[in-house]
Amino acid sequence: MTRRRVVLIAGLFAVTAALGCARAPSEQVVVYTSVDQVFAEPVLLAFEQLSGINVRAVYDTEETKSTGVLNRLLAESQHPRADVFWSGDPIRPQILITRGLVAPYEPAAAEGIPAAFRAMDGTWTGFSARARVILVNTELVPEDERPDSIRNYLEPRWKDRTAIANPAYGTTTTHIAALFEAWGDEEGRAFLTGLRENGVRVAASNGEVKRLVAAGEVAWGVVDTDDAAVAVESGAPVAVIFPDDGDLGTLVIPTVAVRIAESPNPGPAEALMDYLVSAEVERALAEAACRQMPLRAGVPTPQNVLSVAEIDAMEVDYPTLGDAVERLHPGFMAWAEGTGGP
Amino acid sequence: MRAGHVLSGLAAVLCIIAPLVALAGMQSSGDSAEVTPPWFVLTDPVLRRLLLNSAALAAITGAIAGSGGLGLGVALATVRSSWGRTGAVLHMLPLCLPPYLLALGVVHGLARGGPFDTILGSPLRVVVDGLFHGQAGFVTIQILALTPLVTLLVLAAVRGMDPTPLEAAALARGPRAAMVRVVARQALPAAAAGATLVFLLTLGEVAVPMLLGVQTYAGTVFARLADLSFLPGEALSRSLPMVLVALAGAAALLRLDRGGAVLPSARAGHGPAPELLGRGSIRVAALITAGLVGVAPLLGLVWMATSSSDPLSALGPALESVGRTLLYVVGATVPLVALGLLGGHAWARDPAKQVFSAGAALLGLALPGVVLGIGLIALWNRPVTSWIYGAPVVVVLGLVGRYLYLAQRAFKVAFDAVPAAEEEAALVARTSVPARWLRVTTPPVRRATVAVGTAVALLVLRDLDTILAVYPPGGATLAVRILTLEANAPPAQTATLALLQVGLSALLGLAFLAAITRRRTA
Repeated sequence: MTRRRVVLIAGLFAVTAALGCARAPSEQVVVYTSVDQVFAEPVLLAFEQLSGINVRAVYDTEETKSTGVLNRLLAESQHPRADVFWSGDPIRPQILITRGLVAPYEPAAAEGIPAAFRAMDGTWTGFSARARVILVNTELVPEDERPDSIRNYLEPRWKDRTAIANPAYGTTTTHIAALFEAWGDEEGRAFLTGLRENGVRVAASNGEVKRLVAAGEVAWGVVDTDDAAVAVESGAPVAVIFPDDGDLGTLVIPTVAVRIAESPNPGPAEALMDYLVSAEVERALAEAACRQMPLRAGVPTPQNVLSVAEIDAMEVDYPTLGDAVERLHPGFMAWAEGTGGP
Repeated sequence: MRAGHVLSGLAAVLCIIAPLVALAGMQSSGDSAEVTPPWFVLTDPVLRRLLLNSAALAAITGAIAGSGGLGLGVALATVRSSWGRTGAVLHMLPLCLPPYLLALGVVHGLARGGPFDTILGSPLRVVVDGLFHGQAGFVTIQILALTPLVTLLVLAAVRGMDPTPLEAAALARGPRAAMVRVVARQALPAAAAGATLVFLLTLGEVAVPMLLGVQTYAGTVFARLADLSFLPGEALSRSLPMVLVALAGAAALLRLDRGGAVLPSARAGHGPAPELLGRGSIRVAALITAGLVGVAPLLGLVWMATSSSDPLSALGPALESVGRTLLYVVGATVPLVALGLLGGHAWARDPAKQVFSAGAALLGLALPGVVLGIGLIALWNRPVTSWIYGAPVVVVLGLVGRYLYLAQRAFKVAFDAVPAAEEEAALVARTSVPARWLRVTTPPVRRATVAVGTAVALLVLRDLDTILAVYPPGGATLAVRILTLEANAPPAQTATLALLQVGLSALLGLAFLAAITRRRTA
């Protein structure tokens, strides 16, 4: 046998061994997160350095590009692989809780987080929030003409000039469901119909809405505060408006951590959750490019970051909103596909 | 029944059929346990229109990519110009990226103030803008991304051609007639195989149409397993009409395989001598044009990468994912080439017995990757198989399931052009199986092996749908990392990593070109 063939065969054995080996079980925690990797990864790396626990993460893409970590959690539910689910919103964890896939755990560090943003039975704990805001192109829309309400989508002056992310996915689903809860189903359906009739461009994601507004392809659109902050930071000609101040209020979306039931590493899972809901992480996420809003009072933030207490927040019961999302979501999907509606 | 039939059939069962059966048995979320029957698409006018429209878009893409790839592959195989070869390398670069990233480069490149704005000026920009939006944009992006696949397969076919009929035609009827009547005709099966793959990959594409605001049937399947929807039974049921369309398309293109059999080779050769076919100025110009068009979307990425002061900061943290990517490329390419060789050979020699394996492999390519991915979780995420599911080998199983059809189909075309007489003689002489394979069966398809290996490696390198669903925690590839960072990371960082991906793939492509164009000395 020639030397070249020996080397080739040895190489193939090495590759096979590498592929076949799951990592040796040192102390580790497996976290699935739908928080954008660019923001979540530094937090998880900091935890790794602080605790010495190896963090193995699965990050999510924007909603319309992959099945998402939530569905992976559901698909793995018979034999969970994840220890912690760090969700970018409070709705997806509700689906896991409803299916009995979450183990209650009240992190000691959760003290100081308002009661509206965590479950009393310890099934979910919210921290570090985003809000649904209007991002407007300042070169296309003078200051005195800017929108200030979600209802502005239906005004004739904005016909064919606005964008919204697909309501079948992501935080837009949560937002539209919250509107249905606040207005009632009939007015909610009228709103969706009005979006189509007024030529609102349905984009693939909040990130795409951000790009369309920043590029001046539309005048304005609703996005999350992290998308808006990134657009402002990049120097795009945009301004941020918290909608429905003094009226319906602005929807606040806390990030949420839950412990997965029957997970392989319960001890490290609790350590990670203790870290995630701490004031230290709230401050880090406020200072990061996502400019997330602390839920705790007294957490130092940069000048341009509001805390939740400083905005007119929409009154929401998140578990009830979770039920509404599950009820309405098939209708949102049909609306997006043009085959019907909620 | 040949060993190739059995082994490729086993691979299809393990990597495709079994996961889909497991998927069908999965419980859906919420109360939506009722599954829409597959024939619903025939009665629902909206879905029916969507399926037909999606099939038409995929067919148009396949036809254009197939024709373009045929011409470019023949051109590349029959010119010696370094300009032409440079154009060919540039033409192949889009194959290195997931189509979604290519589309992102176009979208950013077309943005106001972007490079196209600067280069083309406003009037031409409006025209180009129209080409890259809506359905036209979807087809354009897919053509850019996938035509190089056809070019690769045609190039390998032409370089492996017996030059004798060509020399005779060139002397008798001139170079142009020789090109059309001999070279292009013999390359037709390879082009048809490539067009089939383009058709199937386009039919199942999800991210690009969503970015461009195009509704596709694959999107409705994806929506049943995306974000808040967990409806595996519904997703599988909705996939079945898509699979039927894919089967029909693939069967139609299989008929073109007989085109090459009109002039069978006594033994595979080393391709036509370029000097027989003239200087080839038009062919060189075509390659250069294809190269410039192919590299255009990458201009958008380069512009994104240079739009910030610190694009290189993304490289350090990405090194680990580069290593993992290379591991998966090697780990998946080797079994795919082996199974393709065995299965393609069995398909060429005894087509009737390969129907099950080829049909199952077609499922793996036609279905949206998310369907196969969830099926893999359903099948392998068990205590007794945790050593598979928790390890990178589950990704390899998914990639084998996804690209098995490509490997088998390409080798089938290669073996169709090689008469079975020598193999039969070796069999009669009672040559051992290994010796027969090493010395008789595989040497005539050496170039095809390199071409298929390269094509598979490039597709694995840029794969997203399959890997995203099942990669072990902490085990993201470079392509996955690019996509997960794309949400709100500085565009410059995303673009830098995308260009790194292109660079890796380009090295692979250059190695392939070097291997395929090396001429044997007598």
